[in-house]
Amino acid sequence: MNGHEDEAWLDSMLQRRLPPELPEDGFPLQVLDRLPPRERPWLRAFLLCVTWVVGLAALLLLSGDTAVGAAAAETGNHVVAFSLGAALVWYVADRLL
Amino acid sequence: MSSPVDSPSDTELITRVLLRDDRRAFGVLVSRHQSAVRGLLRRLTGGDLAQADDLAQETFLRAYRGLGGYRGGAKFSSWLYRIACNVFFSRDRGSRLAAAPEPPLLEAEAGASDVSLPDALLERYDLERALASLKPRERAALVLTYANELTHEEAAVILDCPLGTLKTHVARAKEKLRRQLEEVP
Repeated sequence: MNGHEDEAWLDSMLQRRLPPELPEDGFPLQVLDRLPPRERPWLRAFLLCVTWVVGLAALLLLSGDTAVGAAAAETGNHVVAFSLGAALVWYVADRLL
Repeated sequence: MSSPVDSPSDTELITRVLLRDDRRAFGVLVSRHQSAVRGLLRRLTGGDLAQADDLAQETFLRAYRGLGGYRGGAKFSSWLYRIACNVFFSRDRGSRLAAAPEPPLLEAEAGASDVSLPDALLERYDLERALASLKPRERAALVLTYANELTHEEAAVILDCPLGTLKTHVARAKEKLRRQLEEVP
């Protein structure tokens, strides 16, 4: 085989490898299943606001009926409890959304 | 079946995905381009169907995450090819030490093992083996320009290399293929 025939033979062989249109076989659904969960920024912002309002209200109610001296120490305890509670609520919200 | 008039263009679908996170629109994009992307990856992986489909899924996931970076200058299919090639190269780097992929069994395609195989099928088997021995970039250059019938310029953009480099890859790959196929008894 000379150079030109050689070249043409290789070219035709490479071009012959085009497969027919592949059937979907559920492929798009598999891809859609693997997409990351939807982001819902408004819902997340709303939940954050609700968490803060409920937490702040609870904090004010709990510290409202104690004496001024003891109030500072108790408020500190409540802030810690509030922070832990808010973190827990946010962990749950993040898993669900 | 929907007529071309009421089927939205790729650009319209991409806009829907970007603005409303419309997953149905992304599903249509996947349906529309899955054959080309899976076909390309099947050729790049030497006919390894499972690996090719795995890489194709990864390609579409990366496309979804990076859709905001698609500028619309090139065809969407070319952008997907580029991602597919990058996914293939990064997977190949990870499994460099693994054995070269074996081409699919001929018997499965021929229907029965005792049937004499046509010359075309044997040629294809030899070609798959020869392609599997090429460097990933050479294989990609050859597959894009021949099997996918892209121009050298388009293939150079997809592989993110200068036109001269692309042509060198193609020429070197063809030379290696020719030598390998000549050695086949």
